[in-house]
Amino acid sequence: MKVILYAVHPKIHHIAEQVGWRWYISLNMKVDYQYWFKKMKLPYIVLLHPPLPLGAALTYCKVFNSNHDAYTRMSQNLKQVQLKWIQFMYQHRKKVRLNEKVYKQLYFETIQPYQVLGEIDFQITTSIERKWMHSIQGRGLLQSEFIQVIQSEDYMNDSWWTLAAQYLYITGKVQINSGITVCAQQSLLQQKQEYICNRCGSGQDAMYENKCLYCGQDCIYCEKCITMGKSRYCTPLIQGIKKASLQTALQPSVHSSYKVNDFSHWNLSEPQTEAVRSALTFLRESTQINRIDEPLCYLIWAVTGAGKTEMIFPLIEHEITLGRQVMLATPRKDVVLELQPRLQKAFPHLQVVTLYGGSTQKWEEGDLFIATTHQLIRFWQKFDLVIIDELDAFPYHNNAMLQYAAKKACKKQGRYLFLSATPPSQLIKEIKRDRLPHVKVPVRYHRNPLPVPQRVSFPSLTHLLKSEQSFLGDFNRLRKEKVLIHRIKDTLNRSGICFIFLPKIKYISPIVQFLSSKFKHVNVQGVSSIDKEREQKVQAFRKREIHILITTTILERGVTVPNTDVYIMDADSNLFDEAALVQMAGRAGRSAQYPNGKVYFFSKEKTKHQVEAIKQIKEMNALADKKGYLKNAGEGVN
Amino acid sequence: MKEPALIKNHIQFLRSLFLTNETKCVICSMNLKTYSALRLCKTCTDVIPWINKTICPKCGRFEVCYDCVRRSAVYFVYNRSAVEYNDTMREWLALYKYRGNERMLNLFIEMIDYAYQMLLTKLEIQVNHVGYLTYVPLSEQRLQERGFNQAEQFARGLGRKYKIPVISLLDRTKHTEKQSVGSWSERFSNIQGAFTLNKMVVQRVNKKPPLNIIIIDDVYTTGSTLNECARVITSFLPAKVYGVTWAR
Ligand SMILES: [Zn+2]
Ligand SMILES: [Zn+2]
Ligand SMILES: [Zn+2]
Ligand SMILES: [Zn+2]
Repeated sequence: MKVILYAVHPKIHHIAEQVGWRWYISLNMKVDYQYWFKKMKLPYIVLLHPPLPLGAALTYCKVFNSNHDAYTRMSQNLKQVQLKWIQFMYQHRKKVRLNEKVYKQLYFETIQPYQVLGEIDFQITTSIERKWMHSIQGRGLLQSEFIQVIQSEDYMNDSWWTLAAQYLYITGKVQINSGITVCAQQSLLQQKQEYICNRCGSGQDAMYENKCLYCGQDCIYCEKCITMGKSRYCTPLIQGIKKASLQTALQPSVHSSYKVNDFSHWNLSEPQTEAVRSALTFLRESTQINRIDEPLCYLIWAVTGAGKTEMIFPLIEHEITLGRQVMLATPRKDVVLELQPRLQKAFPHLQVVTLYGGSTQKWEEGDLFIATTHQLIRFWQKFDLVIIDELDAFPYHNNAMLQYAAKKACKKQGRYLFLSATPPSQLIKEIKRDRLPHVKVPVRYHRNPLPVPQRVSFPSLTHLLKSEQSFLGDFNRLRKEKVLIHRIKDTLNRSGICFIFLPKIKYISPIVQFLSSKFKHVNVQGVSSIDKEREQKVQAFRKREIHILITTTILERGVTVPNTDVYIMDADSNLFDEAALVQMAGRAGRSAQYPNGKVYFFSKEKTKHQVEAIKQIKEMNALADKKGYLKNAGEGVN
Repeated sequence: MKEPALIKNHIQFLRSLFLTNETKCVICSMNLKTYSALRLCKTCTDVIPWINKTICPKCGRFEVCYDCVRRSAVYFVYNRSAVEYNDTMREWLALYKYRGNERMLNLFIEMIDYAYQMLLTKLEIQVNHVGYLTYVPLSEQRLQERGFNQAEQFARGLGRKYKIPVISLLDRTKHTEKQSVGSWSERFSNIQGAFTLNKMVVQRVNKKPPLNIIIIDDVYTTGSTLNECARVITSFLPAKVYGVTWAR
């Protein structure tokens, strides 16, 4: 859209001690006339014609406001000052992407109250304002989203939202940004423009330039976050400033009765309790440290099956009783839906909001938010604590957009809590340099050691599939399958279930065929990400109706069934990194009844990833042993 | 021999200067190793359901056609569509039309060109005999919501490619409901009177016969939109009207 740029006279500008012109943009001048003429009693303002694309107006506004000396002295007469302004705008027209035609029409007009008094005919009551802020504070909303929030009940006409946005902007309740901003960057060869999406943090690569109906010139939009709305150079991104007072509004009764060390009602194991205690110490101390801009981070490194969800409960309780807002972000929608009733039951007095694609609570305000990771993009400096579950999982890992979104959702003074069984390598590096506070939970809730993977030398599936003979023929000829068959028989004899992981979808069906032929009375199934019956098959597997399930890494997390042995074929494939191997191995031995599952790495080569994965698992077992967490200390530790 | 690190970095730097997003698949962002006219990877290219046989000569349908039989008065000569409107194509169009990813425009223009070529083959006429391209307009409200008219963008793309003038012959006066709801007859009557001719533009049209005008649209559903547009145009101009649509 196009907006008005205007400046307010310095001498009578008695809000602050500032000398110099203050610049503003306007989506709806009615609001500004009322504010400056009626409330602040200014004699005039200086307004630029014609309206400019939002991104350009905001950039000029920012530059003018930060260059007091050069552009704000009042020694010259107004006409001369205005000429200087126009010259300045001309010099920087390329930088702000103003097209030549528009530039030639630029001129300033001095507006006095009597000219516009007739236009001031609106009223915004404090109750309406409070209602708006209730849903807007701590969120970053694109124009279309802002309209949805504002107009749900108070719809009046098409331009109503501009009035609302401008009112909140001029009274300092929101910041108005453009979806995309330009910043100049010195590159090796030339000075080039860099574009950044304020919404998702994407840079040049995600930008697309084309003609725009809303600003009437060449505009840019971000392709990266387009599935959640179109962020343009001329689209307002309205960021609701969160009042500090809201978060300290405690309920004193709850607060005083809360004893930090007493969380016996959560029924945690001793290792869990100890981890929670150190995390709580972090949460308490972090609020006392003076920080300027950066939220602090804390990592709970809990092995697979440690019961990390249970550990979150007392931490949430701690924050909530202090009147703070908490976000729990998790990669998968099914986890959001599964956690909602559990958390609501644990905290019946709280407003729990769940957010995912298609959620009905999209704009609701609450105490505790549970959301899929993408939903973080709609928040802006809202939360005191952002808990990120399965930090290393898709889609978060290596996704700059989601990392930016998570960073933006947290208050500058807020904290992050990461949960992971397999932290990404950057975090492990930080831990080694002693720069990331963390706690390790090295043992499962049933306090038996993690099964240590055994490596079995085996030909690669690629090789077997490539040979001219059919896969089955080659398999038989090589007689290699014996090793595999023997171990599967062993698992089945102990009434166990085989969970077989392969690096590629295309291997699934030949292996299913082969194993079905070998085990005629056993239900052998394959499941992949493109399988339409995926849900049903996972359900059947959970009910132990499938005895051998063959899959890719899609099921590396989340699916656990008692008495399972894990087989990883082509464990030397570069598609399986250390984290993936540890996660897959983590499917074995999860239940207290059958804590000693088996894990096999079938591979031709002994790769670094396999070695590191085995090392990581052994280290955790050793740590658990050292701390005396293991049930039969000294026995099952490798 | 391995390249020394310095040279490798240098090459990477040069690559980054010349290779932009244009070397990625427009749909799935996979890196393209070889040149592709549609800027699609092989997987995405292979899913396109091109219409390569037409059963109904009138509207270019690939199966037996009742719409054309039932229609009492037909005002356009022929229509041709490039692809079958299946779930994948519906998804692609939604990405472009509703999500607004305009980077996909070139893909659609290249695809609709296929339909345009089929029409020319059928007509046995030369490119320079096509007088004008026009497009099915959006109502002002829709245009404001969406920010662009997909049919206009397709038309302008084709026009640029073959140097044919694109004119805004029609205005939409009625804000019709989505085409997919209602019975056939409802849909048919709904569209009637939805368009008017833009008098200013009509004056500038060279009326010397043979006057061939092609209407561009994204999806041909029953043909009633195209037919209504053609009715309005032929009632004011001595023209033969054809349709070129991206999908049907
Ligand atoms: Zn973005
Ligand atoms: Zn624009
Ligand atoms: Zn592709
Ligand atoms: Zn037909």
